[in-house]
Amino acid sequence: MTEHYKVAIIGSGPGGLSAAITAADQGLSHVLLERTNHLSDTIFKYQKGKKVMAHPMRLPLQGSMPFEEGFREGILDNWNVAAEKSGANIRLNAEVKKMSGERGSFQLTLPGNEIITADEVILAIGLQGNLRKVPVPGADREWVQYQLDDPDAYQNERIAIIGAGDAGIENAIALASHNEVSIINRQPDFSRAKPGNVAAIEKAIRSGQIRAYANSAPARIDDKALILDTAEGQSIVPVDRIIARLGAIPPRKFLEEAGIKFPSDDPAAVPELSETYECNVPGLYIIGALAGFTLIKQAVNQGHEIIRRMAGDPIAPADEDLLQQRFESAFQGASVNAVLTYLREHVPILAGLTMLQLREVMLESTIARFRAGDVVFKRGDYTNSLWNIAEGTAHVLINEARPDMAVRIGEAEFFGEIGLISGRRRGATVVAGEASVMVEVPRRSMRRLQSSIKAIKVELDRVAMRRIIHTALARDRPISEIEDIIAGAELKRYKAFETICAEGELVDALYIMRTGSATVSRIDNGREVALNFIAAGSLFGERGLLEDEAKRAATIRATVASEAVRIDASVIRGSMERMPELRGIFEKAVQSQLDQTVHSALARAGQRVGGTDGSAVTAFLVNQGVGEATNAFIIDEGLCTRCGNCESACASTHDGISRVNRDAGPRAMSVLLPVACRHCENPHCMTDCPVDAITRAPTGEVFINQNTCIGCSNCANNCPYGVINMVDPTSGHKEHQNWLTWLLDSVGLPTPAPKPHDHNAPHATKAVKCDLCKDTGGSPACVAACPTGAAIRVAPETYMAWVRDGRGRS
Amino acid sequence: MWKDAYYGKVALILSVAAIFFYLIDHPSGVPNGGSWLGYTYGTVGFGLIGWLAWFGIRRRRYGGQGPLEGWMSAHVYLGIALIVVATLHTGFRFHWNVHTLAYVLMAIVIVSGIFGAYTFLRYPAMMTANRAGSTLKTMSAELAGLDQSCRDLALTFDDETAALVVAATQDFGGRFTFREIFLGRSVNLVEGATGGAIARLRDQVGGVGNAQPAEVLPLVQNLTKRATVVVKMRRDWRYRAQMLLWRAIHVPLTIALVLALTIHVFAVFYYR
Ligand SMILES: Cc1cc2nc3c(=O)[nH]c(=O)nc-3n(C[C@H](O)[C@H](O)[C@H](O)COP(=O)(O)OP(=O)(O)OC[C@H]3O[C@@H](n4cnc5c(N)ncnc54)[C@H](O)[C@@H]3O)c2cc1C
Ligand code: SF4
Ligand code: SF4
Repeated sequence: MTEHYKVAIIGSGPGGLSAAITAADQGLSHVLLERTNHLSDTIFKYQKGKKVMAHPMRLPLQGSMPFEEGFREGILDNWNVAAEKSGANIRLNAEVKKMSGERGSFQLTLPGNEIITADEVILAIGLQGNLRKVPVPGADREWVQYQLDDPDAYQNERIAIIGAGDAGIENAIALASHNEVSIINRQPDFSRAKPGNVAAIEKAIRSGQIRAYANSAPARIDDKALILDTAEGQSIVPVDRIIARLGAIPPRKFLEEAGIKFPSDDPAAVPELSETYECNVPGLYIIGALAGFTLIKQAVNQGHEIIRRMAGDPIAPADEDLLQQRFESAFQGASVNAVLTYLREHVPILAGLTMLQLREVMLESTIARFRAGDVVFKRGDYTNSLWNIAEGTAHVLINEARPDMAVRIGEAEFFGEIGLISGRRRGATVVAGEASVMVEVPRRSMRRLQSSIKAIKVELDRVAMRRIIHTALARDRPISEIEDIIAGAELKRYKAFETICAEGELVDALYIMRTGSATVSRIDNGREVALNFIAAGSLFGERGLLEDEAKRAATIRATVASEAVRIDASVIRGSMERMPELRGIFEKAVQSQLDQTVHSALARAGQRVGGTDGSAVTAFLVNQGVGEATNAFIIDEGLCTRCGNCESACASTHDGISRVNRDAGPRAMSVLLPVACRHCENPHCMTDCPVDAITRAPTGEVFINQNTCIGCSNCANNCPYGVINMVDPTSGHKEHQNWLTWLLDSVGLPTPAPKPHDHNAPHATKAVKCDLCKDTGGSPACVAACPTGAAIRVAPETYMAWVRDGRGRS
Repeated sequence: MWKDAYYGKVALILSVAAIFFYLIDHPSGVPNGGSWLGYTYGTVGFGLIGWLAWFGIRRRRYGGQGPLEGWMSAHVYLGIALIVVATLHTGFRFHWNVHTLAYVLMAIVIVSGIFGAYTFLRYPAMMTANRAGSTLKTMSAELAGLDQSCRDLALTFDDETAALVVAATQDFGGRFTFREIFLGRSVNLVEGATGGAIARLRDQVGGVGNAQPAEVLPLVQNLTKRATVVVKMRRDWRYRAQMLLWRAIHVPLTIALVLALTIHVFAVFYYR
């Protein structure tokens, strides 16, 4: 006899648990199914003593499940008590393996092929997924584990780490100082991991600290031994413990099998949901992290709200008041629904959103009213939100001296898409043309929308392409005159280091860099000499375009994953007659070609004098991804006296925690790239911060708001350069300067070591990284504190000059 | 070079002007610090010393005070100019008293400073070349790995040989000497425990034991490799020591100088 319920709730995280508690309160027939043997596995797995934040602070909590800012242990205790008290019907160790059916006829398969049926289902399984298990006999031994909470808990053991991704590498390194560690890698090398981790593990292997088995996979686990299949046959690794870090299986497959549709293949896409969280399968509701709501409080509220509606006692969504406040300044007294409807009618980009998506976007966006002439944003600002005109017009001042030539953008159109896409500074100042209503959607929301709604991405790309071409080639003409050029253009994507055009090839097209960057180089006396750097927004490949049969004089190669607009030579030649000013653009190009000749002469001179020429240094910097930096920290080790002043300066101006690691970065010749934030053009760290704690200041600094950061580590995992540290910001050793430490330090003696920080005490781990000293007024403290000028902070455009000056090659 | 040696030019102008006025001046009696020009030199010198000493404090004040590189450059050039100004201030008259003491202290401070500047110009690049892309941490990890494998390999030999190899893995070339640090005499590990172990291993082939060359070779290679790492690390320490040690003179004597200078000024005005 199968059990039947009105509603089955899958997953006992904050979302599912809140639903179950409310269901019990309301006397609704229900069951809560949890995979693990405890409630709320995601929170259960937080680090011991982690401080859990209750963002968004202003969002009220609904329902009777308790939740406020506190520590992991306390919150779990409260939830267990609340679950107990409510009398919710909870089944642990009940992983739902399969799900089918729809409203009135859902069938859920549990372990042991037990079937449960339900009228409606709430899916709240979060995004953590199932940890991938070692698929070999013997993997069920208790010393085979899938997590490492505290590396110091293991001493003098023989430990094998299976899996050579970032998690595996980090565990291996953390354990290596007190244990005999081997790492098992299916691949021949570690290319899957972040560069910082790759460097660290390779170093540890070279020095004999960690043993590596490449091209190897586990075959069997015996008593105290791991048997491997290697390229040379089987080999036996004696072990006391195995830690497997094989990643998680995202729940997507499980969901698709249940009939849930995703709007795109983008892994970040969330299923499309109605205002009541119902997905395309009738009767199936999705809440919490899985529905794209990344915070605990949101999940709790949704669980409550959905059950209230099922029980026939609906309440207004928790964000109703917040939205009301957001709309207040532009639409005083209007109801939330009226404003949302207005937005759908006036802002085409928002028209295709579900009500739920629209609410979510508007919680983060701003509606602003402007008077004629008000500045919306300034040229050179590093803002990258998208502006939509609901009413009125905007004027883009392409040429600030000639306001009469401003480009007019009208009702229902948007602007700011180029900054949004390329991550670079605003290319022009924009002012309101008349009294206007505009909606500013932040970059983060736009990125989410682009990954879940294809039409938005297509429209943004289309408009951006038109405008990029217009600004680069014909800014003084109305855009209507270059429709033929626009029609002949295509968007090309390049992988990092891919050649865009090669020396010696026929000149057949002109390019405009849309995102990313590229280097220009030439073979000179058999060596590749880097000549120039192309940043996003620049025109390139134009030289020789007007001649017949001209050959490329240089190779242009993407430095990072990049996009460029390609316009065929024939299209340009065809427009020449009609648009004589194009010739001017190409003449300017000849000028820059002259510069290039000078540069290559300099590079050759450098070769004679210094042994190596600058291009090796440039190549190194480019390979290290400096091409996507807007401000990278570089030390010339030919000048660096190793005094450590840069690090001390950083620590002393930032709560005693240095954001620079001078010892760890990659080096070549005499260039060191210390591990420090590069303030990327398109910061990877910003992609999925649940509380939007990472911001790019209008002046370019990428910084983290310590008050809102919840310490989830997403950013640290996303940054490819490993510059974000997850630490307790209060653990810093505030340098205690007195005459004694001053004297010791001045004569070069070490100052007394700070008291070690107690890591077991409850603490709030937060993301910490360089903020370019934006709050201290001056230039970055590290650079200012360098007595010899060895430390610099530069944009790629400038480091090329720095290298040409002969630096970094001693 | 900070702004094309701007402070170098300032210092040069200051020095040339000081010498020029000294030459055209005809004070009544012997030139001395008490003349009108002498007071001027004294005041300028006093101001310079105060400002130069302030650098020691400024160096550790971080944030919002302009680049230290400029201060550093000014510190070096104006420090050198101070020698000229102060010497002219003495009028070349030296005695066994606190006034001359202040002058001598100042001279030592400046000379040690010049030496420091020299080390800053010379050693960073040499250090970089010596490390060859590695770091001290990596080198010591490398050394630990080599030591471990030496000890493992030694187990296959007789006890006495093994003991010699173990001793060799603890051979870091002994204490640092003045000669090594300042005159650059490298340590010679071949004469110490390392050399002993290698010699003994050589003897194993065909000699005392009857080992095959193939058994001995990896161990000898590892011992030599670790010796080169040790030499490299010592060289790194030597460079760092040079860049640090002069400060043990420069800083304390600066403090002494400031004291002596205070007494000098006080004495001049009180007893005149
Ligand atoms: C390190 C870290 C720190 C964070 N810090 C904070 C913070 O301070 N504040 C904050 O608000 N948010 C924080 N978050 C985010 C927060 O944890 C999530 O938003 C929240 O847990 C989402 O809740 P949920 O109910 O959607 O899913 P989850 O909490 O992920 O719960 C899903 C549950 O479903 C179970 N499950 C999965 N699959 C099945 C299945 N097939 N059958 C049965 N059960 C299943 C799981 O075992 C789990 O118990 C943090 C996240 C991380 C990773
Ligand atoms: S933290 Fe990392 S990803 Fe973010 S801006 Fe800095 S270097 Fe780029
Ligand atoms: S750890 Fe990073 S991603 Fe997570 S909340 Fe803090 S800043 Fe945002």
